[in-house]
Amino acid sequence: MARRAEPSHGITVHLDRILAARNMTLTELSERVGVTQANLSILKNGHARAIRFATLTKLCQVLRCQPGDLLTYDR
Amino acid sequence: MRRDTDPLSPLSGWTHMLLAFVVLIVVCGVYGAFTGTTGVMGFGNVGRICVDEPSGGTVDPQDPLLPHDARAGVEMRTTAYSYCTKTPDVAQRIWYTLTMLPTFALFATVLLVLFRLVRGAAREGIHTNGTARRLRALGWVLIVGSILAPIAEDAAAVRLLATMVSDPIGGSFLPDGGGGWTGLLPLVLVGVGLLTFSRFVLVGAEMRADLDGTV
Repeated sequence: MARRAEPSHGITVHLDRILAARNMTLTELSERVGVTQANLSILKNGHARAIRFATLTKLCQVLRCQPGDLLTYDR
Repeated sequence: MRRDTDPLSPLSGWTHMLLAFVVLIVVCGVYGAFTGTTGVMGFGNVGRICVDEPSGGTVDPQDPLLPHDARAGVEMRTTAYSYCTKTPDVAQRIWYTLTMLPTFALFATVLLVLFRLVRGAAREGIHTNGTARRLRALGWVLIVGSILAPIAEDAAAVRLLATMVSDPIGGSFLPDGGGGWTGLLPLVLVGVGLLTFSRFVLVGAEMRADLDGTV
């Protein structure tokens, strides 16, 4: 397995905050979105290097939010 | 027809086979040298020790020892004179060993690094920083080794020759006529190629890390 490098971007994922606001667990989100818990954990913990539009679409559908609610750019 | 999809094939198989062969040769050689049944690189029962002096010169066409009779008008030349001794002392044995050991050491080192490269790539994957690092190491071994090995061997040959002749010799000639240099030159190019290829693998490793981190 390749060593995971430190993020080289300034994007922060607010999945944990939105999950808490929706009172939803990661397991439930995983089942509803069809993305493994492992991948959602990578996303939640800020270790993801990229996110597919398809994944983002599903997340926005299930969490009833906009991409801008999930992702922010920190200067 | 079924295609072999192992990306490390056939390098993996060849490396294991060659490494086993070299280990077998070394074990048999050391055993033979100790028991006196055979000679290895100047030690054990080597018979005679020879070194070539490449200045050469003309040869008498009528010499009965020559394998062929030259036609009229044909001049015969030899490319090297070979100096041999049937009773080498320890110093001569050591110099003789050093005329062969560097190339063998280079070959053995390359095989070992190749073995580590193949084993690491099989364990961690091809597109990893480790594979790139080992490829780079292999490249440097080839570059440095193929430059230093002929220099060391030629220097040892000069010293060996000096023990066999009574007059002083110049140290500027290449005893093997420079053949070792031209023979190992392609290895330098291969080494440089491996350095470049290791950069390809680094790019691949970066892409793989991106894929691993894509959700």
